Amino acid sequence: MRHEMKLPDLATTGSAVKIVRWLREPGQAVRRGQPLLEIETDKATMEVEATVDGELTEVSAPAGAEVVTGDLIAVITVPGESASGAALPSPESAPAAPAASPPATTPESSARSDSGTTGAARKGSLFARNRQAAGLSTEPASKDLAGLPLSPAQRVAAQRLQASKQTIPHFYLESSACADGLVARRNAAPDARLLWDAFFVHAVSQALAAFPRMACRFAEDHLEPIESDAIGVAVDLQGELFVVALDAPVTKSVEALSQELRAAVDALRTGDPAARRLRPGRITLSNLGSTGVERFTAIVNPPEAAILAIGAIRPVVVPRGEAVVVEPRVALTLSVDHRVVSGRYAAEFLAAIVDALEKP
Amino acid sequence: MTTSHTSPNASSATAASAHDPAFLLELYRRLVLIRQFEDRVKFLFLEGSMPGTIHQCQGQEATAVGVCAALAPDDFITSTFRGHGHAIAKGLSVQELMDELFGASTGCCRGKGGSMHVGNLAKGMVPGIAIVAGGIPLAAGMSLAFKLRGSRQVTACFFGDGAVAEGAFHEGVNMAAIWSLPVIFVCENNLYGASTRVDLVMRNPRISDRAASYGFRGETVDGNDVLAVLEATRRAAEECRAGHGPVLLELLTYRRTGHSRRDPCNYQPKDEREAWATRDPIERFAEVLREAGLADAAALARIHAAVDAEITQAIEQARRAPQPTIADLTTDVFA
Ligand SMILES: Cc1ncc(C[n+]2csc(CCOP(=O)(O)OP(=O)(O)O)c2C)c(N)n1
Ligand SMILES: [Mg+2]
Repeated sequence: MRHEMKLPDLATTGSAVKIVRWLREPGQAVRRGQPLLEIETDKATMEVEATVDGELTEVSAPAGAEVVTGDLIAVITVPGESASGAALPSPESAPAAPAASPPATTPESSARSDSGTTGAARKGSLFARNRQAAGLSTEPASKDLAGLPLSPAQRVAAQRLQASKQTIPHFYLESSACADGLVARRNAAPDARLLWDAFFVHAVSQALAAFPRMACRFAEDHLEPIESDAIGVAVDLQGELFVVALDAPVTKSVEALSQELRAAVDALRTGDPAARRLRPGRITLSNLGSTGVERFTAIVNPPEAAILAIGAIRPVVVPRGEAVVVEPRVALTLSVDHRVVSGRYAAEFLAAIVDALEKP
Repeated sequence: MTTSHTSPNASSATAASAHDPAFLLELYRRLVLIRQFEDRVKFLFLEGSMPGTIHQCQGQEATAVGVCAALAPDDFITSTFRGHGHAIAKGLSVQELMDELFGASTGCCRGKGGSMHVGNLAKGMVPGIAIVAGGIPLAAGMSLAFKLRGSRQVTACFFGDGAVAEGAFHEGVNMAAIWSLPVIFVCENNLYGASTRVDLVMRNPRISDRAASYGFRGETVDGNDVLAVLEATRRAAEECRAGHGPVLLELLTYRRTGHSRRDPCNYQPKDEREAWATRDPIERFAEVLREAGLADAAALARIHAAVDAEITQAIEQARRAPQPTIADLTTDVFA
C-alpha cells in the first residue's frame, strides 16, 4: 500500500519549512518512530519521524525544498494490507512483523467538516484552512506569492539586521593596514591554502585582549561582558548569512584557526544543525576582499558592540618620506555601537588591529 | 519543615506489600495507559490527524497516577497545558479524551477545549489551565469553597517548576496558607520550564523549601516512584481534611519528550536524558511488581496489549465521531 507522508504541523507560525536533509534514501526500509528527515522551521531545526513501517519509495520534497504543513514530502510503501479497513499499527510493532497500515486519513478525508473550501485552501494548518475558508489572509503559510521567497534562516537574519540598524547608534571608523607582512607570511606557509580570514581573526583577537570594553554589550544602565571568548566570521552560503564562531582565538595559531574555519564552513554546507545554530561572539569579521570590493561598512551583529569590514588587498601608491612606494594594503572599516564605547576608544582599538596585522 | 527523598525502589518493594494486589496492578495499568495514549497521540499529530500542538508527559506518568490514586472521586484536581496524564489518572475515559483531541462534540469539553484544556467537572477535574500558575489561585478559591461548605473535599493543584516564580503562585499559596485551606500544591519539577533549566531561574532549586516561608509543610518526593507519590499524597490529603492544609509536594521527575510537539528538545543534555531513562517510572514499577511476585512478564504484557486495544478502539471511534456544528458555535462559550 502506498502511504503518502505529509509535512506535520511543526512550524510555530504556520510559515514555510525548509527540508534540510533526508536521513534515509529511497529503497531503504523505514520504521515507525524512526527519524526520517531534518527540517528547519521558523524556530528550530528538528527531526521528523516516520509514522509507518515500510520502504521509502519516493522523496517528493528534496533537501533545500520549502514546504508547508500538509504538503506531500515522501511516499512510503507499506507491505501487506489494502488501503481500506486497515487496522492501526501498534506502537510496538516490530519491523520484521508484517506491518499493519494506518488508515490513510488526512485532514481532507476525515469526518471534519471543511466542505466549501477549495483544494488550495486545504493546504496548511487546520487553522490556516479555516482562515482561508473565512476569506481571511493566510499569507504567512502561502508560498505561491510572486517574488523570491526567503528561507527561514534569511528571515531570521533580516529581522536581526533590521533591529540592529534601527536600535544601535552606529558610528564608523576607517583605516587601512599594510599587507606586506601578511602576504609574505601566507606565501611562506607550508599550507598554501591558509584562509585570509584566519590572519584577521588572529590580529583582532590580540587587539581585543587590550581593549576589553569592545567585548561588552549594552544593557540599559550598565555594560555586560559578553559571555563568550569567540570571534565570529560572517559566511555567505548561497545568499544565506551565517556567523561561524571561533572559540578562544587568542590562544590559537593562524594555521589552527584556518583549519577550524574551513571545517566549520564545510559543516554548514552539509546542513549540520549544530553548525547552523547561532552562537554569540565578542565581535564579528566580514570580509568581502575576494569580490574585489575596496571598502564597505557592515551592520553590527547584536549583542556585539562592533563589526570589522575587510576589503580587498590591493596595491596602493603610498608616500613614504620624500619618496613614493607601491605596497599591498587592505582597507578596514569598524562599525561600532556608540552606547558601548567612545570614538577614541574604538579608534585606538582599530589602530591596535592595524598594528597586529603589520607585525612581522 | 520536613523534606524526604525516597531512594529508587528501596521503599517501594516494602511499600508494595502494604497494598491490595489488584490496586497495584490497576496503578500499573494507568501508568501504561498514559504512556501509550501519549505515544499514539504523537503519531496522530505527525500524521496530520490532529490540529494544533500538543504537550505530552511521557516520563512523568507516576506523578499523575500517584497523586490521583490518593484522592477520592469527589476530590478535585486542577491541571495545566500538559494535562492528558492528569485526566487519565483522575478517571476520564480514553474515549472522551481522544474525542476531545479530535475536536469532536463527544469530547470531554465537547470539542471546544482541545489538548490544552481537557477536563470533566463531573469526574473532579477542572479543564486544564494553560496560563502558567493560573490554576493556583483557582485551586485556593475552590478549596475555600470546600472549607466554607464544611465538605471533606480537597484539591490537588498540579503545576510545573516554571510556575513557582510567577506572581500567581505567591498570591494563591499565601491565601491558602493563611486560611489553612485543604489544597495540595503539587509541583511537578521536571527540571525545565520550556527550554529553561530550573537552575537558571531559581537560586534555591529545592522547591519544597518555599512552603516553610508561608508557614506550612513541604516535601520533596521521588516523582518517578508511583508508590512514594501515592503515600506522600495520602499523608497530605489527611492533613488537609483535618484542617491542617495546605501542603506543598515537590515531585522530582523528567520529561522524556519535547516541551510541545514542535520542540526538538536539543537543550536536554544527553547524559542527563540517559540518567533519567534508567529511572523510568513504568519500568521501575514493573520491577517492583515482579519482585513482589504480583506479576510476571506475561501478565505485564497482557496489560500492555489490553491497553493497546482500548486505545486503538478509541481512535477508530474518535475518527468517526461527530464534529460540532455551526449551531453549537455559541454554546458553552462565555467570552
Ligand atoms: C503566564 C504564562 N507565561 C508563559 C507561558 C508560555 N508557556 C507555556 S508552558 C511554559 C513552560 C512551563 O514550564 P513548567 O511550569 O515547568 O511546566 P512543564 O512544561 O515543565 O510541564 C511557558 C513558559 C504561559 N502559558 N503562561
Ligand atoms: Mg517544568
